[in-house]
Amino acid sequence: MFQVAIYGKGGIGKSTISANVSYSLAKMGKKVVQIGCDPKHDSTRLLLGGKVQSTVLDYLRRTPKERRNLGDVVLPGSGGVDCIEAGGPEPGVGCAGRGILTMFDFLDGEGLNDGGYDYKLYDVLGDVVCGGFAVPLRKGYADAVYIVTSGEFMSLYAANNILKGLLNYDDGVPRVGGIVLNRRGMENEFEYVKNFADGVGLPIVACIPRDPLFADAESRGVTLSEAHHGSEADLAIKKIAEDIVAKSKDPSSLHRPRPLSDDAMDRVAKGVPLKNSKGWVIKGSSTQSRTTGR
Amino acid sequence: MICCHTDALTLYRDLRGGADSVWDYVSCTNLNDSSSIFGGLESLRSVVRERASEGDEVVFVVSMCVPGIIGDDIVGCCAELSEELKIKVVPVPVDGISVGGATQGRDVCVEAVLDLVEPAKTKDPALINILGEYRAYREFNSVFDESVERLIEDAGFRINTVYPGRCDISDVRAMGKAAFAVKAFDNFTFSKTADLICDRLGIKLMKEPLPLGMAAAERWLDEVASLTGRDLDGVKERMRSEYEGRIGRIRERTEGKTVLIVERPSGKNDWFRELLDDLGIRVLKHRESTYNRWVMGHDAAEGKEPHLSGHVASDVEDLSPDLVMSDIYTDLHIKTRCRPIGRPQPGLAGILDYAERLGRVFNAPALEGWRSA
Repeated sequence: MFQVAIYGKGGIGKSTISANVSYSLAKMGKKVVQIGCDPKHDSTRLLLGGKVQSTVLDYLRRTPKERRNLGDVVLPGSGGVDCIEAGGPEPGVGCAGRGILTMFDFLDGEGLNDGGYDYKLYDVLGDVVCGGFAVPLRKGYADAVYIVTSGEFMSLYAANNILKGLLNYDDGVPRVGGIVLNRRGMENEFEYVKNFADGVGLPIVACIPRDPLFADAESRGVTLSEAHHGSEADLAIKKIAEDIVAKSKDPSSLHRPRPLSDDAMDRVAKGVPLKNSKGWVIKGSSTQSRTTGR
Repeated sequence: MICCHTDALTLYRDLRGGADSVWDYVSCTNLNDSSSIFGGLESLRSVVRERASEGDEVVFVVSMCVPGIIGDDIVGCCAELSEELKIKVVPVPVDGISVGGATQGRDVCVEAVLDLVEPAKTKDPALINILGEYRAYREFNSVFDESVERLIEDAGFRINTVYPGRCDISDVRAMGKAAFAVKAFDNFTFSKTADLICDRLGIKLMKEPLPLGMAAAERWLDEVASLTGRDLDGVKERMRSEYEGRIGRIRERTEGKTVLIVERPSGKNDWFRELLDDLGIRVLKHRESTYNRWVMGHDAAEGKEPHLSGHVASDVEDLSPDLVMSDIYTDLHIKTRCRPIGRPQPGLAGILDYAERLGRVFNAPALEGWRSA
């Protein structure tokens, strides 16, 4: 089983992309489970015909330990993708990060990994705000991390923070799949993201166009591929799925996290290229990798 | 590490008059993993409503680390419950992660308690608050209460509130009426608390704590006289006369006896040395020990330093005292009769009662017939 975590700034489109990628992988004949790790629990909505599923944490709250069963929290979605939602407290109450930890403990204990899945996708809350939301980054969970961003600076800033989070768990094994550009339609958007990607040494795996077809599919509660098969956006999603499959076959093609320094991020904000005329990334752009000694 | 809620809970136990167990009246929200995810306020509401239905009129909500970490709005919830239940629900936010250690928790706790004190327009110079628990041994309460009450009365005061230890909420509310306060004992941590209480309530805190021994009692009465302008010379003379009369009779049994004292350097036992002197008991030697694991155990085990009991045994052999007295609460493993120094209750009756018991102890070998008097 190959595990993939999708990270990115809040509202950047992670859930939409995750659901569509899961569906694409399933259509490629893979057995897939998608786990929404966001208290909003809307990750799997598009895979469930627009329905919001009951969450693991609500289930754990109301079900005595001896009566808990993994099957009660897994719903079959479009294309045969199994869907799980962590859920969590109302905004401003309790600790959602603790909830994510509890959900992972439950799923591990109930043997989710023995379910014969080829791919497991984690759709994680916008920012790595605490240890709970960093669980998918830890060794033993995500084999590959994809970061969704637009060309907006704050989105790139969040992407850089996610790389910093990854650096904390860096054990020398490359785990970053690449960057997914979800276009917002701003001027020179690709160039901004390319400059950042060059700085952190990551490929842009796919560029998803700003397309009203997404809104149409969402309003119908289905994935883009189901609603508009073969569209430009659908093809971009498929590229991500293909990249995941390729990297699962050759994990050495994954990358190590190399977040940018604050100065380098400032250059990104100003649109100053991080590569010089010889194609070398300007010295001091990256923060130091953690020396693990392992 | 001691979490700050520890002192807070201890203080509330005392507030209830020293119940035997803190759990007699503490209700727990029993937070679990689910509470830490979804918040613990529902559990808190449920527990407070239950207490209110049982007739409690004041409930202190002592929060600990988990509510602090997950950000439960304890203060807001208490306000809401006070309004709903028409009782006082007082938040004591002592989550250790934000407040600190035990002493800081005590301060937060005291501040919460002081919020209940009713403002007094005028202070009554005849009233005094006793701050701190002065009963050393609960089984002797009646004897020792009498000692303190008589001392206070002799000084021209009436006891207003004894906090903590034997007060209820109505006593706390009335705390602000007293013009003066006295510490029950000299203790660094509680001195800080006493300062806090007196600063908040505008009460004059006496420098001298409740006195142990005759000399301290005279100093204490002098301070009262200077603070209040009362003439207490007659009281002092009467006390001195009673003290000397009773001590003189006990001295007939103790004169010429010898004692070896094993004492911590931090021991505040001036009253004890004064009493031994008054009873004619000769101190053969003071052996001080830094009572800690290194001296008591580790170094001894490693052979670097003889165990304290080794020193004492050698002293006993050399000096042959009638009695060994110690404020170190451990077994000294010596054959000679050994007694803890302990502590008398404040006031004249307290020190005289202590002297009587000491006299009986010195006389025991003769009474029991195993050693000549």
